[in-house]
Amino acid sequence: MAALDLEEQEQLSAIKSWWNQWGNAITWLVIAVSAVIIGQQGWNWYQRDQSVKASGIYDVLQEAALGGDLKKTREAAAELTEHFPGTQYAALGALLSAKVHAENNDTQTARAQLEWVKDKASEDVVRDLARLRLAYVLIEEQKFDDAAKLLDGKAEASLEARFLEARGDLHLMRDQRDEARTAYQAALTRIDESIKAGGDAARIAQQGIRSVVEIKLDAVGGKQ
Amino acid sequence: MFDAVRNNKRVVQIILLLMVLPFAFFGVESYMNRDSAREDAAVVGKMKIVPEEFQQALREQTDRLREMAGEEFDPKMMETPEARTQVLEGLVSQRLLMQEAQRQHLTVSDGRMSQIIAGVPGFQVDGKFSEARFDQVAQAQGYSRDGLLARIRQDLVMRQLYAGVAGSSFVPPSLARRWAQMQQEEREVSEAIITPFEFIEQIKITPEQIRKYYDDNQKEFAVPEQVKVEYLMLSEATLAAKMDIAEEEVRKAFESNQSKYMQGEERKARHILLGVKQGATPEERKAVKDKAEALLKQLKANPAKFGELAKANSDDPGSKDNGGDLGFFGRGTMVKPFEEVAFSLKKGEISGLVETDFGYHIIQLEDVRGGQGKTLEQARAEITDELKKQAARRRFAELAETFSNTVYEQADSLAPAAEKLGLQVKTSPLIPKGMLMPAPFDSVKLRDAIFAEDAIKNRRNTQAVETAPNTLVSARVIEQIPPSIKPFESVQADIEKKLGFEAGRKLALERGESSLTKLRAGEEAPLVWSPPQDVSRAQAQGPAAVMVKAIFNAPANKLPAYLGFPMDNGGYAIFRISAVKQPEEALDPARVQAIKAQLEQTVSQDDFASYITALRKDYPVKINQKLLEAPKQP
Repeated sequence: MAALDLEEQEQLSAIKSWWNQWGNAITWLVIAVSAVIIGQQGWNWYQRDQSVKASGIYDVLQEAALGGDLKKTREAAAELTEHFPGTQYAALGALLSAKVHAENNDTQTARAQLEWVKDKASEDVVRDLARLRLAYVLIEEQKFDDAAKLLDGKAEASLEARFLEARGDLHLMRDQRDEARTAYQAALTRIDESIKAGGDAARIAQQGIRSVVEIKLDAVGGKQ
Repeated sequence: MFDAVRNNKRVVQIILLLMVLPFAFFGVESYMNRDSAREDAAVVGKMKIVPEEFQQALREQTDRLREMAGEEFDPKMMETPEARTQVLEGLVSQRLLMQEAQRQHLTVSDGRMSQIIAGVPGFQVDGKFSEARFDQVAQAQGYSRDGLLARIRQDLVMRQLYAGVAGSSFVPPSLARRWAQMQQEEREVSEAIITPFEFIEQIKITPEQIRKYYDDNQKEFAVPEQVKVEYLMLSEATLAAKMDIAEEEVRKAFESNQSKYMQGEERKARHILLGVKQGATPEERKAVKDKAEALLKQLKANPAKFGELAKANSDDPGSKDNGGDLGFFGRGTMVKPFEEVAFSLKKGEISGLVETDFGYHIIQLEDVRGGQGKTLEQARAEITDELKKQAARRRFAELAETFSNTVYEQADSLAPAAEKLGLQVKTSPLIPKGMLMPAPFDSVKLRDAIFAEDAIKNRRNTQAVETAPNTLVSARVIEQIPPSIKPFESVQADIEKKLGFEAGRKLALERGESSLTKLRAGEEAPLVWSPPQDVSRAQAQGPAAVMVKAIFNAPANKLPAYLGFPMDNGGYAIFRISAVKQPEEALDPARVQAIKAQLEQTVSQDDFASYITALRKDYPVKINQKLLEAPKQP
């Protein structure tokens, strides 16, 4: 220490007093920032890890669904929704499982799974897709009032026309021609609006469903 | 000093260590940030679609269509903005899904990856997965091994999404049944046609009407300005015909270009490859070479064993099992040193060792076909033509200036230029302004020049105009007919016919519409009805499509229902729908199944399209509209 001259001594003591004043704060700040970064990385890692596991189960589910193995499909879907509810695979798996069950007249299981997606999925559009399909299951079960309630309320913009169409389908199955026509007409108008707004891209995307709605509309009396 | 550090030594160490770690994870995203100065075809969230990729996708789509449509394929189909939009939208959707999959951490485990890759026939050799083949495929597609793996994983992940969102669509059975009924609905229809000719007798067109039409529609009878010109043409093609080529020159050209007249030769060979790994040491190389030399010795002693030895020793997986047979190949297919040897061997001969990047080859030439070089006599016409063309090109370059100058300097006649250059003055037919004519008057530049005031008024030569590559034309107007209107007498009859038809059309429309009103009110109308016929939606094809569609669009809650149409030929058609037939229980289950499947597909496509549209809110999409316009015609 003796080798230091006066000026250096002074600088050193300035640093010392500065550190005494701020040292702890800086240390804690560094700890805090690091903790946030590590936490984030850890969270990402955890999610990825969950996804890898869920992905494997989803593969099994897809294969079972394709092969028409209801039990295996159901079990895989249950595992996904119970143990990996935070992953996208849970929603995708439940949707797939609901399809096979609905097609094999197990509307009860299909309903439960679609309800799960409708309530728990992370994205609006996926939740609304589940809600729409759930309404169709209820129509199939002839629970028309429940289905109508489900179709009320705002839907994702890109699904609005489909919700209107479903309402028309509901009335069609109830043999309410005039109400069906109003709904189909509204659906068609909605599709045409979005085609007008979206140009070629929208027209290409919606030409299929447009002609379906058009035929349904014709069948209940056509445009007025 | 540094109490905090000293007292918390362990903590600080850990912090320092951990602070380094996050950087290992950052930087992953930076591969997305590319040069942003150029115009992209589209930007999707953080990802870009470069124009080259769009063009590539367009080409691929064109090829697909060509394959599907066969001879009926019209490349114009891909030039509409709609078709181009469709292709770009495909790429945009892919980018949306990629980013969404990433955000949702969708992935495929390594185990599953290997299982899937092992099952792809393209990566297999003899029904077993081959790592070498995988690398080959990756290389052929311009990927590293990891790159191709990442690409496949991405693809699988997008399929997971597709299966979950679109593959899970369904149509409930009772609704499907109802839909099938709608599809199969038939309507019983009769038609009545009112033609404009029914009214011919009551239509009287007066001379005054004809005159009035003629006066009111002068434009319709306008005849454009016309000119007749004489013209002089200097072109490489006509010069070529006049060129004389000496026999000596032809011979010289033949001799110096012999290889050109030898093209198209193909050779069939077998080979044995002893592979040398890339980056092999000289010792390793030597070992392979020694082995190859031993093999060569064996072969020279017993050439018949080539196939057998190839099967046992060759490192070329493609040819090994065929006894080294490579089939026929032309020049430019094989690596250079290999080609040189293969094309210098005689039939049946076995080469020495040939060293290439792959290793050491031993080649045996099996057969030669095509490419027997032409003789001078056979090639003479071709060579003479070529030489004439070359000479004409030089001559044209020499004469072009003289031509231009002479027609300009002596502007009141083409004769001096014709004489100087040994050309012939020709005379054109009458050329109407603004109408297409055969060459050289298809050139806009030349037509502008001959209809210019100076050319018509002063009868001067036009300047020398390049009407086609290496073709110069100068023209001089010799006759001009100013724009006029066709005389009344010559068009009178046509106008009368036209007015008559118009009046007939109008009367047919009137009668049609009034009949329709009467019929709809339940009254009678004097019409001739065709016998009733069952019409189904499936008939909505071809020219009748619009009418069939209208028949099904018509409200049928009150029967009979009527609808009317003005027709292209001037008539008016009225349809009477007398019955709507719903096939109730008679639906064929297989047919219902097919109709249901079709509907399910439409619904599923729309589900996916809606999903993708919703994704656009999270990842903004910017499309470069300029790229979507139809390409300009040259």
